[in-house]
Amino acid sequence: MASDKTFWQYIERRELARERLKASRRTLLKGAAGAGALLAAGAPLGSSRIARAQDAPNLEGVTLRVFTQTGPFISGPIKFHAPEFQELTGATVEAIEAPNADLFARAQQVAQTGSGDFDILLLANTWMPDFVNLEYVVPLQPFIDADIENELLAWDDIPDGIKRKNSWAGTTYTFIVDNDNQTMFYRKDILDDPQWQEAYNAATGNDLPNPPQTLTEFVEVAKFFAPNGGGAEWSDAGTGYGFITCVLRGAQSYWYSYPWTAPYSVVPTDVAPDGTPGIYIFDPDMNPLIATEGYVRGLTEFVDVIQGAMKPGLDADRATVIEDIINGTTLMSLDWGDTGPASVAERSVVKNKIGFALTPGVTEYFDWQTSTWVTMPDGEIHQTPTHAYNGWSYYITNQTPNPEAAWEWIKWHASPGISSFDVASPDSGYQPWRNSHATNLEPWISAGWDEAEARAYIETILAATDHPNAVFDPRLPGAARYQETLELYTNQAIAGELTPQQAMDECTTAFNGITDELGRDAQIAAYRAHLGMAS
Amino acid sequence: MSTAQPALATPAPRATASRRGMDGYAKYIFLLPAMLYLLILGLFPLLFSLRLVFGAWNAGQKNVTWVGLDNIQRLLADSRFWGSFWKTLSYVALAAGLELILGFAVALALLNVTRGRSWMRVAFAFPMLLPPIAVSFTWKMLFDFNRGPINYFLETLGLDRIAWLAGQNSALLSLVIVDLWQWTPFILLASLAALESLPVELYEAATVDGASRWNLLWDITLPLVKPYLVAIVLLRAIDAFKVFDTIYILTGGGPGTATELLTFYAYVAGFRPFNMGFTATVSWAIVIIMSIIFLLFLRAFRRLEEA
Repeated sequence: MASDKTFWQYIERRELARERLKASRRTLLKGAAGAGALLAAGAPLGSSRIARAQDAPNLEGVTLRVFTQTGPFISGPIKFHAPEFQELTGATVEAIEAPNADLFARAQQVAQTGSGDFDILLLANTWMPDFVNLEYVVPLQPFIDADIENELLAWDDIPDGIKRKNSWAGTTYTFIVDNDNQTMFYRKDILDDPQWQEAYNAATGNDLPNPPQTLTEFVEVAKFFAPNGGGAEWSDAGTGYGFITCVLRGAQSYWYSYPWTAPYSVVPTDVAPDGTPGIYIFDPDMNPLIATEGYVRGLTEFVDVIQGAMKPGLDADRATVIEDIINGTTLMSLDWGDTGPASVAERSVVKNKIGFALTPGVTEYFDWQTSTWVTMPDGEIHQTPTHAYNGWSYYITNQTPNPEAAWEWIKWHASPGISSFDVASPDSGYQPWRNSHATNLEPWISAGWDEAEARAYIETILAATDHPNAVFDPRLPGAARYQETLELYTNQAIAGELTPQQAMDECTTAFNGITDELGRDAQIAAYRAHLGMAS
Repeated sequence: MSTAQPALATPAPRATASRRGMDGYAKYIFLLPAMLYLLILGLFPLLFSLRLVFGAWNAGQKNVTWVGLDNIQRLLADSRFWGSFWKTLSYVALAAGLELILGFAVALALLNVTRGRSWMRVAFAFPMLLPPIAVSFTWKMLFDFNRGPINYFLETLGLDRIAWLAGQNSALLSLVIVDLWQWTPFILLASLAALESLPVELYEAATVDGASRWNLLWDITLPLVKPYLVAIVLLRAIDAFKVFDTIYILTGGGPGTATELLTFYAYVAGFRPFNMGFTATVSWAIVIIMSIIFLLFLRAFRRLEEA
């Protein structure tokens, strides 16, 4: 993520915030008898940190090696909190880093050779089956069961959506510290402006939706606020564009197609087989759904909006998506939550001008069960918030000689107090994932947020987390191979090498090849485990 | 001296045999660490990668399973592989060819420079001393469609902006430009060294006989430096064949598959999703393709020389 604030500036700011929190904790302690009262008062940090200081386990001499992405994002918070943890427990925590693109291959090498390089992994949630099948990671369920009442774990503070993402085949294997779902970011000041509302109405004959509720509205708005649409002068920072997304090959571009393809191709949970939410990309028998009319329509609209509303050049990567929103040249994006904290960074010109909403829905979707288009009842919109990558998740490896110590670190780092600082930081790369993140707003205000804005941002992300139609990134053995393949063909459609239908037809053939190679029956069982369905 | 020589000259027969025997073992003992090193770090990975060609080793799979010729069949049937192959050939031919022309031309020009040649040699060598990653990031900024200085200058000159990294052809051309910038100096310096080693007498004699500058170049210089140039181009082509860093940073193999050259294809189709059997197959295919191409190249050169 791009930001002008360095991680160390963030740390400095955090220290100040921490001092303030300590002060408020002392105040609360005077009047509160126990931890329950503190939680009720909306200050979970105070209670948990005090409990830790009193009951901290003695982990003297233990070293925990955490394998994760090269910093400052994702690994930065580990490095920052490690000294404090060492002070409390005596354990040393080391972050061992690798570039994002090489994380999976390196982790798999270590997992398959069973080398004892790492005690803890902080990696993609989607890779869970690949580690579980190798028995490289241990179930976290026994640790959770033992600590179910623990304040640091604060089990009831974790949304069901997060608990679902943490489990596979009915067992919890991961502990999420970052909530990777996609939401809409838009310039509410522009969409609120009567002058632009009038201009939009004159150009399109429609009222300017604020914000767009459907993909059709989103495309129309995005195209209007682009140079060919007549509304490009909206930006004070230069030529304005209506939309930005990541299109660079190998730069996570296929994930950016999720909010476009899911609404048209995922059926509502109440009509899905066994009422299973988020059946996406494959049906429960591992037949690909990517060449269906619904998926292809979403992809076609994605390609269309890239061509009609985005800045030319097809060279935008993920950093550009965030950058172009906060530098004021682009009106809207559908992205992971990092744009929120970046919008309050010092160099942002859009502080408090960004609106947050669920990704747009559709008024008709394609039911792959009946191969028909289904129109939603009047006034209803079918929304399918997508969870791409699902979130950076902690795993404990079976190689660690200190699984209990590893759990202590995870529990502490993911505790309400510590995590509330991390998710409020523009440089951590973590998004809000606990319910208390929406009530404990002190770290957000310290990070420069307006209270109402912070609440709107967090509530949008948590709404996407627990949405009834939430779509999780498929967790399958060989997930990286499917992802790599989908990325290739999505990118070929974006680049114009293939039409969306051709691209997805070819991708379907490739998907079936991978499924057959890995064993169709085993893949079906794994996919059903991901969906939470009976085999 | 006189006392030592008889002792050496007349050793006891049994002792000599024993020593010879020990000497024989000793050399193997001394060689053992190096042999073990080679076996462990060279031969074993080579054999293991060969084993992987006939095996499947995927994410989540503990052991290598035998799949026979599946990987090879999949590779040969993959249009993406053949696309990468032809793109790689185009890239190598363009990059090495243009570098040869440019590098040799500048070397010829430098040959006539008498003052400051050493300084220029160092200056020209500069790009190839830089790490390819840093060079790639710099060029990425230069090629940026919206904010890149190259497009800024094109616009200043009244020309259209070019989607350097986004066009199907321009993306590959951009990679060639980066390669040209960084590696033309290699051909230049090597050619210059070859040119400087040519005998002056031949030129003096030809000049006395009335040869023009063109005659000197065509009839003396080129035939004499041809073997050097072949070796230089061969080295450069081998290196260009293995390009990876520039693609990784500049285009990621895209747009679509426009810059997915063979090494990058091996990375994205095999290594990144941890499909190690297929990765090994592609890697061996690259080695075989390179060997065949360069054998053909050398044979063609030999025929040319004989003719």
